[in-house]
Amino acid sequence: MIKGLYISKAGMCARARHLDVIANNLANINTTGYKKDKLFYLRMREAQDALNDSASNELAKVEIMTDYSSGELKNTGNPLDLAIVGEGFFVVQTPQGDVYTRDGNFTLDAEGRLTTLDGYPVLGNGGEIQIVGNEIRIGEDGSITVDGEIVDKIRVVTFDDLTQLIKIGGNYFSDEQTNGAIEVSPEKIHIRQGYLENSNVNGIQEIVQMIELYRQFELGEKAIKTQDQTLEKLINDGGRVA
Amino acid sequence: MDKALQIAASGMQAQKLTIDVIANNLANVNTTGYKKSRLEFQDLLYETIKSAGTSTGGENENPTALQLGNGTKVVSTQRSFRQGTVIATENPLDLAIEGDGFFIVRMPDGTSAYTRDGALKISADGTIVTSDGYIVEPEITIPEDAKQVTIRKDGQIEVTLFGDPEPTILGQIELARFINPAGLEAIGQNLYRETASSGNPFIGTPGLDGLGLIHQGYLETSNVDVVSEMVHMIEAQRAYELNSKTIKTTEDLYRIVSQLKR
Repeated sequence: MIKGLYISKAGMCARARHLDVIANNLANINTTGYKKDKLFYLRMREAQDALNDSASNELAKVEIMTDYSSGELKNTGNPLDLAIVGEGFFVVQTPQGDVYTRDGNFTLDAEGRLTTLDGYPVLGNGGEIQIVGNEIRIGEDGSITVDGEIVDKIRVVTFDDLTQLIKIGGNYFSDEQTNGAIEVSPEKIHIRQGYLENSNVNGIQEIVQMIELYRQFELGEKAIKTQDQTLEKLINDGGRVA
Repeated sequence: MDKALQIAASGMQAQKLTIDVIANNLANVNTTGYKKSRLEFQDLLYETIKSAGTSTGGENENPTALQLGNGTKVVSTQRSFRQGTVIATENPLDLAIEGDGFFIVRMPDGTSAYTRDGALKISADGTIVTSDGYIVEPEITIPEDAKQVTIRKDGQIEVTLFGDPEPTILGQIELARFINPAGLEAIGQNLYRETASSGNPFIGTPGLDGLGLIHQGYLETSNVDVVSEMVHMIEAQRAYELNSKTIKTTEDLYRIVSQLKR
């Protein structure tokens, strides 16, 4: 009887967490290069551990996976806006090590380096990219031409298992848990200059999931109330002989 | 759902700022040489509930991390320097740049500012100035006895004086261009200042080295496209509504929780 309460509780907590994930997707519906998170509920058998240990802090048995499908490209006309078509990430150098992003909204810093909007250098095959000149062209293969002279090539990397990438905010991903970045072979690199990749969040899908979880949450409530009433009857009327 | 309220609030705040930027674009739809801007967002820091590789009991490990986001934040406004439509005005001191480049303006403090607004005027002493009276570099003075001012596509200024059939060359309008115009700082009055991220100005003759050509008797209108601004406004409004649904749902879930205990 008590176990049933915990099962219902686990289900409701999982739905509450799902709402947090949907909230974050919707908040980032216009964030360049954002990849939506998807929440999966674990089956009861896999959730058994948590149920056996009812004192556990683990409130919900869920998995969150990031969906790396591409977002739509939008034309901006800005020569330092880049979008990757297909697989791959830009490499960005931070004081904490290299991080990765699909957000190609770049600018120049005081030293003429190509950087992200928060000032971290974007890496090319030769390290930091210095751009000094008047006209910049970035080819489909990522080659950077400044005033007719090729200066470097944008580095594009990928990972053998994208599920191991960790989001760290600022549109960046960390490779801490992965087996390391793998260079994307040159013929597979497709970069569009003057474009940015939209967030891949679909508002309708998220709202439908929100409705689903709301109804499931209500079912959990009904289940708990029913068990509560049954318990009440057992405790208050159980010993009474008619 | 503990986070959902704050997350949705960050999303609504972001969309509200988008509307502000669109409002400014629309307000400047008829401003000569105005360049539209847009907002850029980033996701906020993630909270790691459990990290990948930790034990789930026995030999088993979590294959993936469990991370929860905290919403969105605004990082910057980005300006688009696309060409605006060029319209005829018949005024000899209305200049439009077709292509890259900015007119160079000397501010009262001696520094340079840059503009695409070519509605120029002649000051009391004959100097070519902007509508706000700032001197256009390099400084050119039109003589009092000038009958006609001709500005060629390459920026050369010629005047025809009374009693002289041959035109006199007065000087040359120069243009400046930047490798990253999106990095320029807007200071109002259609003026921009160079910053570290715009790079140093490259100053040259119109029509050469990638600089645009000058058209006398024309003005460049703003590059705000009313239809796409309206579409962006609808997008922002719907995104705002979606985030408000999150708040409504969170509230409903809390209500259900509070009714659990009879």
